[in-house]
Amino acid sequence: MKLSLFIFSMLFSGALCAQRQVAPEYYNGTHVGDILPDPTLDDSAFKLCDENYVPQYYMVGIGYQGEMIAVKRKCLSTYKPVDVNESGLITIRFAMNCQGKTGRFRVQELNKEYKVYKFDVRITSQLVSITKGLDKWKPGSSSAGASDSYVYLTFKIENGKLIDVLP
Amino acid sequence: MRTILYILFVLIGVQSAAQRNCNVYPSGSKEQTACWQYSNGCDEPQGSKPSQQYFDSAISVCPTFALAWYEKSVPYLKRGDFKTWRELLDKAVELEPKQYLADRGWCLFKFLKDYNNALADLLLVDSLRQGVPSHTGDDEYDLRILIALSYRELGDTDNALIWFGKSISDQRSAAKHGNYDYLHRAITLYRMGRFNEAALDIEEALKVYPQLADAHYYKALLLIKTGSKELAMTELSFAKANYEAGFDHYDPYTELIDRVYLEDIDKAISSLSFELQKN
Repeated sequence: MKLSLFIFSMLFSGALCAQRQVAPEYYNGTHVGDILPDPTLDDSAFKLCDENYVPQYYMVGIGYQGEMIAVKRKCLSTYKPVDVNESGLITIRFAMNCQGKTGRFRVQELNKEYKVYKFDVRITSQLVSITKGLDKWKPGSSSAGASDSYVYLTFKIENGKLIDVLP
Repeated sequence: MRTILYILFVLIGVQSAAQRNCNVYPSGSKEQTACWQYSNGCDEPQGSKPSQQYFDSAISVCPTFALAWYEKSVPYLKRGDFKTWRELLDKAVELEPKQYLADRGWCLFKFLKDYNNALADLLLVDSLRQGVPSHTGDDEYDLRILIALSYRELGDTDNALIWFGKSISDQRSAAKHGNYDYLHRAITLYRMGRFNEAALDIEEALKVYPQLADAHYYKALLLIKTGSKELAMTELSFAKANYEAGFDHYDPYTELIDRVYLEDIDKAISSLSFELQKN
């Protein structure tokens, strides 16, 4: 019934909706943000506990020893400013397994207008290294017990200095 | 308390928007078809491929169906892909600015702490809505409180207090307050050294939410300023106990503005204990 209505409406509907080109999109995995393993990028020793179910961090309540303020403090104290006139956001998404180990790091670099931007490699490489070095994560949990999750950290850069860590 | 929040946020993630009555559109119209596709998308887990593909279908049928652009953007925001989030949400804003500028301003404030752009969006919303109050999507804040906090974070405490005042006095007359409005203004006043006014606001904050650890913490700091150290220690004990019981200003998605952490409370206890022992 719904299909025939759909076809009918496609054929006979009026011009109520303005025409606009819509670019197709492709999804790598089964959910927005899925990080599929890449042997050219990833440490082969890192394994998820259940590749079939990787929820987001906010669904399972991850933590860090000393709370997230400890993550922020560690990042801010470890990062060394780079003397360049570059500002924006560097987001590092990664997977955390049910034991609190992390892997599959992926980077998105944006300027302050939220457009793709390429930062000085001295900035991004530091932040990736700092993120990989965070080793006091507490995995989230679901009804089945300790859970894998996807996590991200966003680093706010102002003229080569790290000024904040989100979320 | 945190368990309740987790459950609420998971449920919100499964059906992230109010169910829409598609019969408001002309029968058989592209808009009605888009609406059905959008509704199907909301029935799927947020961010899943089927959900996103339903939103794609809605947009394909009716590219000006703003709700589908908005809903499609949400998982990208929550998962840290801010480039795609902005691309999608900006389309919704372009189509229906009065509705979606508020969401964009709120998300810029909450997720990105981008106070400049948040303030621009929220002030424009206030202007478009001709001062009629509106709230964040989770109903936690009157948008004027976010305007106040944005001004504060940008260093303009005068305007911050004006906007706090507008919201709080409106809400007082409506006998309705956000859980944290008085707390945020109290913290603002505390930082400005206006301790008496801050103390009054903290008392109001505790009337609205008596167990809030953050409010007990700031009450303690204010008591220390007035020399009431023993009472301050009592408040810090409340703060710690309530924090550990989950009565803190916690959010599963982000670290919220003005958030008090357990280490803040513990440091204050340690410092005050030392002071009390000296005396």
